[in-house]
Amino acid sequence: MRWIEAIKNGFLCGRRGLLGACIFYLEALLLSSLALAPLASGLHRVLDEAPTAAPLAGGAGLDRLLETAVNQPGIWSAGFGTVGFAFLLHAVLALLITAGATGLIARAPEGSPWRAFWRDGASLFLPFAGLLLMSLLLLVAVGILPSLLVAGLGKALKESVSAGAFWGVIGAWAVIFLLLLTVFKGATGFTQARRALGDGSEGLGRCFLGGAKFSLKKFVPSFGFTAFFLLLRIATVWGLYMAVAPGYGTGGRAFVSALLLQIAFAVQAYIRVWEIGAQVGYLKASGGAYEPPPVAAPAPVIIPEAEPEPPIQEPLVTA
Amino acid sequence: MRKFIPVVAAAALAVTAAAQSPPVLFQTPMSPRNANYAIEASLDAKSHVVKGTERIRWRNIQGAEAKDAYFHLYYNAFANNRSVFISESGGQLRGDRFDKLHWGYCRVTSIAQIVDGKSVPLKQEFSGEDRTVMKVDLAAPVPPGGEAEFEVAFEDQLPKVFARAGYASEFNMVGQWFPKLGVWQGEKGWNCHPYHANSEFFSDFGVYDVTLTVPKDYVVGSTGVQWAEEAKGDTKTLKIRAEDVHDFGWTASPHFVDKTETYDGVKIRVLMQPVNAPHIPRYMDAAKKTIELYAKWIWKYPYPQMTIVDPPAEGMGAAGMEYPMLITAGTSPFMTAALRFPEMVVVHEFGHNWWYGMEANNEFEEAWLDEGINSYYETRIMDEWLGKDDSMIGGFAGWHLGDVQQQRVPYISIPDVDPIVLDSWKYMNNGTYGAMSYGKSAIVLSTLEGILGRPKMDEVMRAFFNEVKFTHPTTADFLRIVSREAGRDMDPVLKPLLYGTGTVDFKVARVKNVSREETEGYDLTANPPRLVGDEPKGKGKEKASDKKDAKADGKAKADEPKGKDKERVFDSKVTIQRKGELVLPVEVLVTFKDGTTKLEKWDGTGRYITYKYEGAEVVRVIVDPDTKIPMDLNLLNNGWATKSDGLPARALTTRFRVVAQGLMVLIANLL
Repeated sequence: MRWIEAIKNGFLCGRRGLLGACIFYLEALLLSSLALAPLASGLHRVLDEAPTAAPLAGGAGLDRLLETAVNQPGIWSAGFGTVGFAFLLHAVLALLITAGATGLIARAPEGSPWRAFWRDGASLFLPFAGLLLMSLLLLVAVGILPSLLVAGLGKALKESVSAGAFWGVIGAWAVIFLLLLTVFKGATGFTQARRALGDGSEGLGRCFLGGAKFSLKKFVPSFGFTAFFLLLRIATVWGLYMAVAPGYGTGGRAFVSALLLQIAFAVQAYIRVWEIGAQVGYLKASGGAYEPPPVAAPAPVIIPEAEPEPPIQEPLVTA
Repeated sequence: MRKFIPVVAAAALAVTAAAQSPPVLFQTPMSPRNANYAIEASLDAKSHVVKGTERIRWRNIQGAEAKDAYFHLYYNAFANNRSVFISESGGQLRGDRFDKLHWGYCRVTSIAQIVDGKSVPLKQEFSGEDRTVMKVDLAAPVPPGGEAEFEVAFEDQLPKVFARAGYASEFNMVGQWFPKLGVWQGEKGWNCHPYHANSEFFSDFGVYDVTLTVPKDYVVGSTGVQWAEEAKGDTKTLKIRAEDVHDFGWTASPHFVDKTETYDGVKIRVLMQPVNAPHIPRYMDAAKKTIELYAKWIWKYPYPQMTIVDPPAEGMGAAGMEYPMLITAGTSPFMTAALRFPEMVVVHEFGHNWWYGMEANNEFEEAWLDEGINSYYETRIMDEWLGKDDSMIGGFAGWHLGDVQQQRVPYISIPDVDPIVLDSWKYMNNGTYGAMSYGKSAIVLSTLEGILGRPKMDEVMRAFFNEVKFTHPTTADFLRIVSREAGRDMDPVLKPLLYGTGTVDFKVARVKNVSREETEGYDLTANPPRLVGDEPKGKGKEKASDKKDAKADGKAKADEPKGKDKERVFDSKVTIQRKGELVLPVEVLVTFKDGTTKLEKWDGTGRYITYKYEGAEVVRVIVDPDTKIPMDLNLLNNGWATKSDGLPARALTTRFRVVAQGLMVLIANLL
């Protein structure tokens, strides 16, 4: 199975894109920390001097947290004021980093990967933004029918539905969601890879059509990629979060919990790069990459063989 | 004797079912039984129309003659947008929206009074556009102790489920459905309010003999006990009897999963949506806990049966409602065990069988008497059963919330807009009605418990219930009995809490630790007096002039040898401030550096109190260490310590960052 091979290779390819993974991780960490800095400072100001706030460390006494909203609403308004802006900025930066990482993996440039990362990021950012927009349009178009189906299933959830049937329907919803995600991720990922592998001469629309066509033609592998990486992500975050959540209660465990969660996020960042590597590798191996048409060689100009010039006869000079 | 009653009832059921006459559930009536209903009704499952007749026997137990009678026709609240209910609610209540394509009504097709064995038609009168109250002038007035008998034919069109009752697909929740007498209060006349958006109900006790005809494949649950069933064609007819109740509700659906268990002599029947069937044990456990703890704290559940109805997702407007011997709960397949909402709803609604069911207060005028007291007992049962920090959220993704804490939330959000005791339609809105009648009332009673202590509180509440059960108590009764049982006048504490909008917020205003080594000026014990400042000062000399300095000093000294600390003597002052109008007693726990503690008790009079100590340095002060006064609006300013603790803020920030960072990672993964 070529796509499984691509996932395997993508992991190694991801290693090449370790820089991208680091930047993915650090960007989210820094931006989220900066966004929440005013809230953190406000909470410290109010809670540090309040021995009665102790239960909050363990996630208990939520009424006391509300008290801060009632008595010091400024903490929350200031705290969350920056969050919206941070998320907007993040969307832009994340696309830039995606472009950089994809370029780094697809083009495997010589020289400084740091410079190559930002150079590719800058050059691919706008095309990636355009491709993302087209993927979203495709998602909306493709999503209409399944949405109607979901609505129909929802209507079918009347009181007579048994628990088994209910969870069956929920499962069907999950499959539909996965299918839509496949369409979106396939279209986005393969078109981005196609663009990065190409020399930039292919028009954006053609690139998108080529990538989307490829993802639909290779739907099973595309579905496999989506399902594999989605499950990997869910397992990483959910499993770890559920495992460490109870540990917030005490100082030492709170630190360990936070550390483990950061490791989980770092793994997530690597998974993203791994995914890019797998998509790039699979596209390349399956002939989905853009091949610029060969440059036509100029027709040979036949130069007719010249008639031998008659020898110039030297005039006879007689004395 | 009470244990004996269900046995008698069971035996009676068996015998009378065979004899086809209603059983006697209680040999000795528990209530006045002055409003008795014999109802025959049939449900048209397709049109959701209930047609019925009723024969009402009413006895005048007041000292004045009744010349007229008032009836509630509750379903007319949903007849049109001119009703009081729809006008007040705007078609939205408790998170539910009224479906204006499916109105409902209750139409009295005929009403007559039986006089000397003859049926005399009565003229129906309505006041204004709202038709939820019908008046009739009696053909024969009813003197004190006299009886009247009415024959009524009626037709209900059930609305789509909204505000407790109605239908959703094939599910029918038939509550407040029959023409029902108001409460005759003698010289004060009839107490029969229109159906208001915020109000619930008020009626007299009696015996209900009800015959219901429904499609054959429908499962029916109701107030009372079913004692006969007869199938005929596509329908079946059920005969049901309830005694010493003041309402009768029922439900019918072909889809219920029907499960019954018996606990402490009570038959608990759960009618569950198939999709929620895995949650049947959660409802059962909650019902058993309620039976167990009410028997311990208040009075044993006297009825032989309790039916718990689980409405479908599309009929959640019917969820969380109480009727005698029948309650509606609410859950969903996604409600994990850590989220205790299904348990809480069962405990709450079942508890209403004491507070409203047996203590039949006027819910129109003093809703807190059932909602508030019941919410207080809900918190107690949930906390006793599941732990005080986990009784609402028991570790869901690392979060915990107790039921008392949950009840505090609406109160601290809107603590002073309306008082607790208020006609339900006079609250500013449904939000303040809920916050006052449920949350603040429960918190007031928790505070009362904090003042009296739990053993005394239990004595007081048991005495109150025993004295008022099967009557219509008022807030005045409550105040009278509480003071009597507490052995002191509790009015100064309770009246401002119930009738006022005052608040209270205790805070540690100032802590001052001054070392004896700090003496400045002349030492008059020396001869001649010498200026202390002229001598080299002792190491660690300090002066704490305010709370902030004291904290800094405490930090500075934290690393000093313990032996030296023991030798040092401090003059310390702790000042506690009371903000707000309410005067409530409070405890203050003071901890000293040598590990000793002192529990101070302040009666709350005055705006502040200062405690003075001599000896070891004060290192920690907590006002109300056991949260006995949950009325305190801000618990976060109740403490002071020499060492600050950044852990709560760090832990919270980490949680928020995890969410923010997680969302960012998600976005990055989608791009």
